[in-house]
Amino acid sequence: MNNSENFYKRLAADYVLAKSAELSRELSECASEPAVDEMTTALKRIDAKLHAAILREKETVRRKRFVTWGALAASFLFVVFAVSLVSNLPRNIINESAPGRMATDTAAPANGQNGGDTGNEHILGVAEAPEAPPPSESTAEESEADTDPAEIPPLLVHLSLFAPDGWQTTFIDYDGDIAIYHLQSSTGNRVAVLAGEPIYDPDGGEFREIFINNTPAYMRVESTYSILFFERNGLQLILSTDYEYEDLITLAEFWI
Amino acid sequence: MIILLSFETEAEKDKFEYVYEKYKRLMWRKAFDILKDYSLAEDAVSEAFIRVYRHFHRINLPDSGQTASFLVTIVKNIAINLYHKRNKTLPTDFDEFEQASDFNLEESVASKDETERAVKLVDNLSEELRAVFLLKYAHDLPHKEIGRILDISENNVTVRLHRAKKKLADMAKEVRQA
Repeated sequence: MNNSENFYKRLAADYVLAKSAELSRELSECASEPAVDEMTTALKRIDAKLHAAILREKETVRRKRFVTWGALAASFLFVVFAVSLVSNLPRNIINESAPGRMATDTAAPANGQNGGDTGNEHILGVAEAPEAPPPSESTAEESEADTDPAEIPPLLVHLSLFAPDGWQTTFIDYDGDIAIYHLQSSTGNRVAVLAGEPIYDPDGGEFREIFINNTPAYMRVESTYSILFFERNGLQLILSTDYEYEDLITLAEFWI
Repeated sequence: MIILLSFETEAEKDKFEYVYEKYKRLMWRKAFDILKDYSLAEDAVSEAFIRVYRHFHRINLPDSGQTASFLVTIVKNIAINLYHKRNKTLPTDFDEFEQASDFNLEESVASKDETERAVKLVDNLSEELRAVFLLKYAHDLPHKEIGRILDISENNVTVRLHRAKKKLADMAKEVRQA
């Protein structure tokens, strides 16, 4: 490492060291100061947003893994197929073009069997059937949660039974505080539905009020996501998506 | 706390939960200082934790100053990006976003304390340049990972790093000459 790189490294280390004390003091201030209502609510909403986002992330990773393993399995099968094809080819050619050789093979059957058919198996080394892969443990493990269905708010369970045509439920999860329900729209976009104690304030000004089937709902459209919420049976139902907000309207129209 | 299902081990999950609980208020405060908007500050913090989640292997000691600096660097960067988006000021040049300079050359020269001098020099970088510089030299991250964390291209990381180093070198030279 040259001198200038060392200089920058030392500079950065000194900076972090000095700032650590400052941040540590700020951390203590944050921990000791009484939380104002706005902050408590804001922190709750961060919990909810983060929860939804991480579950989405997890789903994406699982899909990627599935695609990767699928591609690997397909490649493996293709290679096996190609090897068996290539290995069979000369043998068949030899068999057809050199009857004497074939006669030799069939004249000395192994274990008293007719060696004609089994010969290729020995040549290819595939006489032993490949063992079936062990059942995937991760499938069960990853299949969302140790969630006890009895704990999920009944409203969410009820709603999860009804989705517009072409929509699918992907999973429901409940951690004792917030329940989250994931769906996939007919176009393949994902929507998360959170149900729980109200965490968004309809009068907060961040949302635009709209009416769906004469029921007030509140909508916020950002460049990277959209949120729509409304209340049912004292619970706040929050619909969010990383895609177009139309899916949220479709779902809300179906449920309201 | 409502998180999480997604970690390989319980220990990892507990560590993330600990980091989240410990730093979320501080991060929210940092984001709010920049954005002056509750909702956007929430967005910044949740987005920051998503990025932390993706690069969680980088956090070894949750209580260390290194970790605090890492988290604050990320959330401030995201908050600044959100601020730009909201105000529709698209970056055309990084210098445009230099902080109002409170760098005092005389003070720097007078300071005999290396650490204090480092703070003055690095603090004089804009947040965009400082984030890249710290992730590279204090947290030892490769360019590719810095790009992912800050949501910029690897090329952009190289450019910002070059500018940060040049600026630091110029300032250090000025200090020495003075």
